[in-house]
Amino acid sequence: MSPPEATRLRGKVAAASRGRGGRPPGARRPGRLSDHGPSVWSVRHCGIRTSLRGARASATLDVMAPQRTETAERARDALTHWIRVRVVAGVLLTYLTVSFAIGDAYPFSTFAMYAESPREPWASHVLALDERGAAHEVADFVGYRCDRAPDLDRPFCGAGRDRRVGYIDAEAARALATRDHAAAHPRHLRVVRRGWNLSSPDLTLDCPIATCEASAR
Amino acid sequence: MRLVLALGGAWLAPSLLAAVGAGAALRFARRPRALGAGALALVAHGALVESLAAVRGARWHNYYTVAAALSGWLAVLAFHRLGEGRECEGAVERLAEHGAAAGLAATYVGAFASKLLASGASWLSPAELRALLIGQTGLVGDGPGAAVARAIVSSTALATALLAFVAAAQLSALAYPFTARARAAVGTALLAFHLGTLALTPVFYSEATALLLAFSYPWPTLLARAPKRRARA
Repeated sequence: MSPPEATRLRGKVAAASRGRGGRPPGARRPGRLSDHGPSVWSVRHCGIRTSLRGARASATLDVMAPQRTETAERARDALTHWIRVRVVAGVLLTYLTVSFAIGDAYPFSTFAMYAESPREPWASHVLALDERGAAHEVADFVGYRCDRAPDLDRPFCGAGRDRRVGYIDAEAARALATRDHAAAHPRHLRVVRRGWNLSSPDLTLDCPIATCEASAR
Repeated sequence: MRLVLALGGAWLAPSLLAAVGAGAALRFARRPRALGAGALALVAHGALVESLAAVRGARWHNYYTVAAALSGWLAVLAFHRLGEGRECEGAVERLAEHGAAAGLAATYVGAFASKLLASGASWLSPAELRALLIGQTGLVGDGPGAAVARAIVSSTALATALLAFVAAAQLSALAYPFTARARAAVGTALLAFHLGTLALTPVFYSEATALLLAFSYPWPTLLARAPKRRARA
């Protein structure tokens, strides 16, 4: 490329950067290009600067074409895509790094719920068993009147500990506390903590909590 | 943030916070480049989420997916502001959308990494899914969901296959924000995971599901095609 031609091209680059001249009507404004060395182009796209090695040939095509050629469009799309990849990777890695560094602190979280395999041999759930022995959720009934205060915090009655879901137990405790509700057609219920053996889930064990009367919701 | 526990005791402070947050969110919805409005919505949402966690004694991670996506969007806007340029404002929104998708994806990759770090490959043992289904549902009920839950608890192979699907879907979120095809494929897998969880348990990540629906599919293109189809019919 002769020196006068190079000067003319640099002028076109500058004009394109300023957004006037040399563009056909309707053509998009190109990203700013500046030569940073023999084979590195620095591109600023939407205020975010990046550089792409080896893009010189495509970028030159982009500058030289009086109309936007398909190759030039592809070259600019590739540059834009590269910027997008960097932005996306930056956000993703930053969120992950900060989350694992500081733990659960809004807006960061490692989403570690259910991450640990259960070490307990049992998993349990508080149930209300009706006269026929059919199992129901405790919250399916209201107006509980029990022979003793239901204590859901008692240790599991089987060999070994059980895994419980704290807020599910809390919901059951709230349902059992609805004693002031006027009970119509009360049913006889046995409130139990039923455990399933996690190695052999056909094996279940009922730990009695209280015997109650309550009405179907 | 435990200081915001005081918010839970009175109506006025949370109501004001919710009003400010909703106003800022509406403004941000109308002007997605309004960094200040987005940041205010994020702060108000954070204060409410933290106060709720303090009152309930447990964090509800559902809300964190919204926070992660909004943070990703705002991070790109802030980065753009820090740069000297103001050109191609429309393109900034597209970049910010990719930032939000990256934030959303990070939540799933984080969930996968947590499992890997806490349990390794043993997380794929059926005990995890059994404990989850038993703890959440007690395996009661007569509906199809309860029947499937009982089948999963009984079948080691089924439980392991479902856990493997969940792990693969969460890991594949690494690719989610990079291309449109990856968004559609991974987004569909993650939606299947959330809807499957809802069918089997009371656990529903509504915010994450809404975000996946919004970000995973090329809605402008699909909606632009819809009237043409109607016209042809």
